[in-house]
Amino acid sequence: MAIEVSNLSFRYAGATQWALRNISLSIEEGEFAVFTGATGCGKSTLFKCLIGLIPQMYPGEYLGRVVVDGLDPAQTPVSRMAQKVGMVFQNPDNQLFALTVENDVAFALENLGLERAEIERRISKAFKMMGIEDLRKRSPFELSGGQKQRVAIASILALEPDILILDEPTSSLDGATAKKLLEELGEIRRREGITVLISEHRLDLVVREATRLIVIEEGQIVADGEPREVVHDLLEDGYEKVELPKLSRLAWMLGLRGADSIPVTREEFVERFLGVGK
Amino acid sequence: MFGEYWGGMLTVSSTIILTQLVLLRLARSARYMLSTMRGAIPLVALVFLLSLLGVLESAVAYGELLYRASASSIRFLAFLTSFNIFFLTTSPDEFGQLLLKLRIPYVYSFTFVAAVRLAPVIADEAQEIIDAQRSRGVEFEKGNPLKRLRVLVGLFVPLLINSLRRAYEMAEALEVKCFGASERRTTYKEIRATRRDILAAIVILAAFTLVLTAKSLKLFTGLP
Amino acid sequence: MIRIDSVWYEYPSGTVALRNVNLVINRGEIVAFMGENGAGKTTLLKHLNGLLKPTSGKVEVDGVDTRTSTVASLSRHVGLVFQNPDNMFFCTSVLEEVSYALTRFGYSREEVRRRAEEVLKLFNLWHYRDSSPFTLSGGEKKRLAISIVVAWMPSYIVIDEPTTGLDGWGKRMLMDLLLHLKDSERGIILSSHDVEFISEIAARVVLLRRGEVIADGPAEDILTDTALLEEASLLTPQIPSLLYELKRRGLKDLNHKCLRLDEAVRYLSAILGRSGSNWRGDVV
Repeated sequence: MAIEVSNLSFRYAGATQWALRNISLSIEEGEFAVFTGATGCGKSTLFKCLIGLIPQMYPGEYLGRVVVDGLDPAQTPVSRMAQKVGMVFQNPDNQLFALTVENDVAFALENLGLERAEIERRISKAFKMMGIEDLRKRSPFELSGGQKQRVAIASILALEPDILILDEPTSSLDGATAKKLLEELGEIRRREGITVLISEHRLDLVVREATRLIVIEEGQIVADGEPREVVHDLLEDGYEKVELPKLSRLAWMLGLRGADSIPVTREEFVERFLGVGK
Repeated sequence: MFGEYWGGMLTVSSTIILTQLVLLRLARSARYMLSTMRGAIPLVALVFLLSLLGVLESAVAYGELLYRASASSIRFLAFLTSFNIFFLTTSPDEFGQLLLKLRIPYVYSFTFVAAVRLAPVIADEAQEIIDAQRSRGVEFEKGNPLKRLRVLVGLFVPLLINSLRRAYEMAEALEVKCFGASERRTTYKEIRATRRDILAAIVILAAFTLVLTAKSLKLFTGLP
Repeated sequence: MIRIDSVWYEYPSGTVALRNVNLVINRGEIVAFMGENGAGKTTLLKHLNGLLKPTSGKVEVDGVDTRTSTVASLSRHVGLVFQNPDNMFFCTSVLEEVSYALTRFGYSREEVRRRAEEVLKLFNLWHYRDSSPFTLSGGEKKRLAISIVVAWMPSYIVIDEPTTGLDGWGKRMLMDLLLHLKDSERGIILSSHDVEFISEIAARVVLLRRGEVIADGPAEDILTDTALLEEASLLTPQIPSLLYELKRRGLKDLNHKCLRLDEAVRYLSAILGRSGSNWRGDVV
């Protein structure tokens, strides 16, 4: 098991509300887990618990237990956790520190005190994984939003984590750029066997890659499972707080649904639609 | 007597300018430098005028007046061009590495590089805030000084709040990038002095010695 | 009417951001400027209230040339909402935030209060009136930013990227508000790359690519034209993309100029219903 969260609750120091309430969750190696829910629902807080930023950087009331790759993030230094669990944040401008792309990707490895040859090996691999070899000598200033976020991801992949967590990585990107990036992440998961956890509002862009869909509301998990089944259940309950793929909604209204699942991609919709007449 | 003044000044300024030209040649950015310096001409003229007015009252001879004003202008120009050369030729990344080599703790060189990295981001943000405030009726360029100070709140509050948030986000990003994890931080790119760097150092040292010797030998007596 | 006449704009850095843009925008329309990031959408919006003046060409708002007027007076007619609400707030309470511009625009104390209350209720923020704007959630901040501008009822409401940072709930709420605000006296101008959102509300779409208008027309023509959208680096919305695929898979005479969810439901259920057990033969 890559991640095991049991009965986790957390309240930030000074806050009256609990940010997480009794979360239990297990994620297996190699999954692509999509987290969704209204802004401020607790997705980011949960992610911070998985790498130990909570409770180490942000203190507060912490109940329950988290095990990530056999380590307890509440007790393990973040720099050690970070070599197992890579974390990419929303705004690339605030996570790139150097003035050339290659120095940025090397940054974390320098901090770990790795030998130059090892740094070279790892960053070359990370550049290749993200398909940005041509940006190596460029300055982060001149890059587009999508390119910057690719550099930010490469700089974390260079740590060679088993688990990659991305907190709304596409929120500042346009749809086409976001879709492409999400597909590449899916490809990396399949090829490298990395476990991916990602939070995303635009489900239609990411659901194709997902093996798991987790919906959080006010610090609680309200749905968790295979994406087609989760979307089916949410439609059945008339759940309006997340933006479900429009074509799933259409399929639902046309009655193109199975007993417990619904098409979430165009291909699935078309198969179901054409299958009706047969 | 004036002849001596002018001779001295000519020597000093030509030394400075020559040194800078050599450095520019070494850095291969002469053309760019010239284009950026064009904007400095009005400033230099202003300095010249101001210093002319400044010494006017002491009722000195006409020649000396002119001389002093030219000296201030040249000083100012030397100052400007030196800064310009520094920023045109020195990558802050490399400067940071140099600080490291001088055994200055990494935190300081990191802070320097991060500041340079952030400057344009913050400048863009400030422009965006000004535009947003102007669009809701705030007029930054109108009214008496007190009023202007008050409208600046509309710029500084958002800027401050955004900077606080950014500070947290950067701190998180630094944590997950293992900042300070190892006592012995390594560097991926090492800077090495190339032949051109050594040449540049020699040129600077030579010019510096020349001016110093001249000064200690009192070659230009009465230089202000 | 806003008339944009052969507008070119070059930033001081030398980047040409707009290339010969010609547009007329009328009151009573919902128009969306669409294109990928960097296509020139925001630059164009900043021309509408005079924050930027064209390098060449001109922009006229209800007959007033933006070069002859100030941003403050143009803003009374053209209310521009910026993408990031954090760049706007500086007051200590939500109510003050909304009242600020109203006071600047010279409304009486009672009128300021009346309008502020009305707009905060409309945007479902009245219960937050005494809270600090900085304590609001992302979606609430976005709503507050828009309500600040709506408060002075400009003739044109211009919103840059209305959906960034919004979750599904927030988007639905915004959609209802915009449709509510739309009337014959007011133009609504949006810039966005969110094709799903725009396909539900906008009647007219202007496509931009590298500072140039490459298409301008009814949303159901432009947002269903896969090749054109690809040229502008935009995704095809789910429904036209689905209909296109159905057509490719054999439903040859499928009319795929259908954009909104309710239309698609009507259209496809008619096909499903009409055809019975052997319906594929009917349609092909």
